[in-house]
Amino acid sequence: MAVHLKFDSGTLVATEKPAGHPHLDELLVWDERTRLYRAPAHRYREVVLYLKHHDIAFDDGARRFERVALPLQKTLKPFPHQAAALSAWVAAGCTGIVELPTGAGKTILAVMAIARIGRPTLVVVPTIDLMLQWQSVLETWFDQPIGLLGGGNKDRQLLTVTTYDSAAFQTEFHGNCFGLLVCDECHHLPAPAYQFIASGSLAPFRLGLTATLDRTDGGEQTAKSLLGPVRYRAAIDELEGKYLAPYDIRTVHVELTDDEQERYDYCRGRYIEFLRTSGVDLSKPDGWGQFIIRCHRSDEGREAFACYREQRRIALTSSGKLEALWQILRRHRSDRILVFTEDNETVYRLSTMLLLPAITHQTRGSERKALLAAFASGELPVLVTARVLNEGVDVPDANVGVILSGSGSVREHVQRLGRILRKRPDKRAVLYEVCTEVAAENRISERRRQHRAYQRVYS
Amino acid sequence: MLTRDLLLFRKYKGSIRPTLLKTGDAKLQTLAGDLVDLVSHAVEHNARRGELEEAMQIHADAHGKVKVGRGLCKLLLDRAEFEEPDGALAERRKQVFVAAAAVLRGELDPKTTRENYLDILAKRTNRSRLELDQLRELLYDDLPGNRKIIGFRKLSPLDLLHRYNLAQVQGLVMHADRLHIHIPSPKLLELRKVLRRLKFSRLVAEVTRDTDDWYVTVEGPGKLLDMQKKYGLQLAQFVAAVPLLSKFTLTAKVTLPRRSPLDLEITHKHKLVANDTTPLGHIPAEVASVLETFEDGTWQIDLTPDLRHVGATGMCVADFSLHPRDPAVAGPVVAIELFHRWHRYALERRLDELDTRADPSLYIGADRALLKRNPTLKERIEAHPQAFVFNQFPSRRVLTKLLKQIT
Repeated sequence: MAVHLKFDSGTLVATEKPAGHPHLDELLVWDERTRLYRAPAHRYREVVLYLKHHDIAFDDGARRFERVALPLQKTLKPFPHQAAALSAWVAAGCTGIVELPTGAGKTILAVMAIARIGRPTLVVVPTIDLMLQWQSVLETWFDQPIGLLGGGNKDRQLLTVTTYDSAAFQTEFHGNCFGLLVCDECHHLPAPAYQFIASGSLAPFRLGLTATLDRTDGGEQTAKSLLGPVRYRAAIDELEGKYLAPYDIRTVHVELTDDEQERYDYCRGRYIEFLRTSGVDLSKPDGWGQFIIRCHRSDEGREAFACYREQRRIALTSSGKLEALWQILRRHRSDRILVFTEDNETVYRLSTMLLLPAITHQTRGSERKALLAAFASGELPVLVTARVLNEGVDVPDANVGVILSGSGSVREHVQRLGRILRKRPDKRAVLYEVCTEVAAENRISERRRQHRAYQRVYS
Repeated sequence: MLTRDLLLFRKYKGSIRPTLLKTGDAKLQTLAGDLVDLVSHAVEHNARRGELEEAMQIHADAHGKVKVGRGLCKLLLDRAEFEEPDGALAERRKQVFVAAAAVLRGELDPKTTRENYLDILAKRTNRSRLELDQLRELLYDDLPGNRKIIGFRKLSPLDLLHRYNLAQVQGLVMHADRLHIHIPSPKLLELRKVLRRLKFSRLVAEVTRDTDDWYVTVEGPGKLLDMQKKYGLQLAQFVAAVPLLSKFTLTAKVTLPRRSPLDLEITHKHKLVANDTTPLGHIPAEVASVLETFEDGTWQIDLTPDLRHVGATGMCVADFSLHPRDPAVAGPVVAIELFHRWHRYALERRLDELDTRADPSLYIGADRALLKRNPTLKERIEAHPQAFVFNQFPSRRVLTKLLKQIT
């Protein structure tokens, strides 16, 4: 009897399982509830290839997509690194991840992959801004209506762009409708809420795109298991000059004032002491959660939490940092400057203090659009932001980046550098990292610079 | 409503049990009272949302159960009203930034300090330095945290604890595939109130009766592909009315994200308290506005019409009925049942039932949003002598036209 395959809410269901095939036993597990064999949908390709390879008759009622012609509307001449990335991806069976720096043309690589595969494609992106950006690029290259799912849009087409948030809810309904799954900024995929986007999809062809896959929680292994290993990687310094703007990195060390130092030492001491006495280990995966819980159980804990916030605030927004920023603003009066901070509170403090425009997740769409347009035109040469411009939104004119504060994440740091590297004639980018001379911030700075793109620091 | 991270429940042998508060607990009542006082005090002083939230959070976190405290804060903030943001502030802000950018670009020399820069900017914008500083202070007055509280639907500490328990159940049914409510021998007034709330909530539901027992089956948000969040909120609104019944058993299969389905059972023994016990209950704005337009006419709207039998055990709960205001005037009583965007199958079924078992007093209204994607159904409605179409809710004009046709 032929094996009948079916798609069921993000899983692959089989009516039969021929005996004597141990590998199939691993793939398809007996589901007592429905009395059928079941596997996560992303094992579809493996199951079908196995059945074909062993001449096992099967009837594929799972997939709802067919091969389609998706010719490009105009000739595309890829950069060598794009051509090499596509070749590596195709050679590996059209699955896997490509790591390319921001501005190196990841979207165009995806366009080439879509044309090459010729299957209905779902592109998953982190934000609505990016979704619209992708739609406009795909419309340029394909003579197809480009569907959108998310941000109030519910239009599914052969080529569809969606957000991670929307896809997480809808994969169980459309997980069998696309042959190619493209996950842009695929370092987001390992988040528990998003994994289902890839695991609940049948798509036999998968492409993950990112500037850097590294995650502090080790989630890159999850991304690799869902999309495939990294097939091609090009570093910023390899593309610098010809495909990305040449750049310099400068670290500016600033000191705390005596008052700041005194307060900082006191607060940090109380906070560290509480960590020690309460036995909380912040290096453990649930360390931070434990710290919050312990802090709220006693007056001593609550004071420790207040001290934690205070020492952090001093380190992130010391008067020395403000002065350093002021010097940079004066030095680069004719440049386009992006100022990055760790939190929104600092963004608004800087904005109010120096009357610099700010963009955070709280900025309304219309205002954000107006500020980005004014930045592009040069009417507003400086933008202050925390994390919303770390990835995705295109700010090609920026040529100076100032990192006033940030996390220890290498990925965040690489992405922030990527923001200013979009190639422009005669452009030379400069990234400043302003760092307070306190042990904690030095350690964070050191951690985030563990990337080859940062091995050229001028203090 | 409580967000998912604030739900507290236990799983036990395939069932899910919301963790309900002991409303008589003195410590909890003190916490609830303190939080209510904090919000009331904030209203008196027009405090900013950010400050209020921080004060509430510190208070709530000092209580042993952080999640409970935060849940109570959330429910109170949902009842607070904050001033609307100034829509023109973003544009004014941009003008200030543009002026500042011009100074930054053109008028700085290596010795210019931050203070000098602000002085220059004040001059360039024809303001005193004091005015510029005031402007800076108000620059982001439209951020959520900076908006001032202007009102609060106050409630007693005990009501807040009851509201919290109800919100725990509402939060779980948001993840239900389908709700079954068994109502043994209900009192007619209670039943009508609950069924009217069911109609107001525009849910996909079926009401049946077996001797004295009533059964209500309501589809959960998980069964819909469209506007799940809105539907879920309306379902929660309906569930808040169920405790109006003296006796009931509500059961549902609840599927929380990445968990196996679990059985939920809530009965009158849980001593939940409905959130709106006023005689007429909550009336949605669109219904209220149509009610107003009929106030001085010859026709009157009754929001608690008689229940009608359809099929063997099915009951039709009309949304409202229309009858002449003057009892001396002879005229028909017209029952109206409305079908909204989610009700395609219910509408088809009702039309089939009307074809096989005529009910000349029952008229069917269909929302245009429902018919838009169903051309066959649209044709059927347009051809049906007892059907009409409307947008969102039938206006007075639509109803008057219908009454003219009937009379």
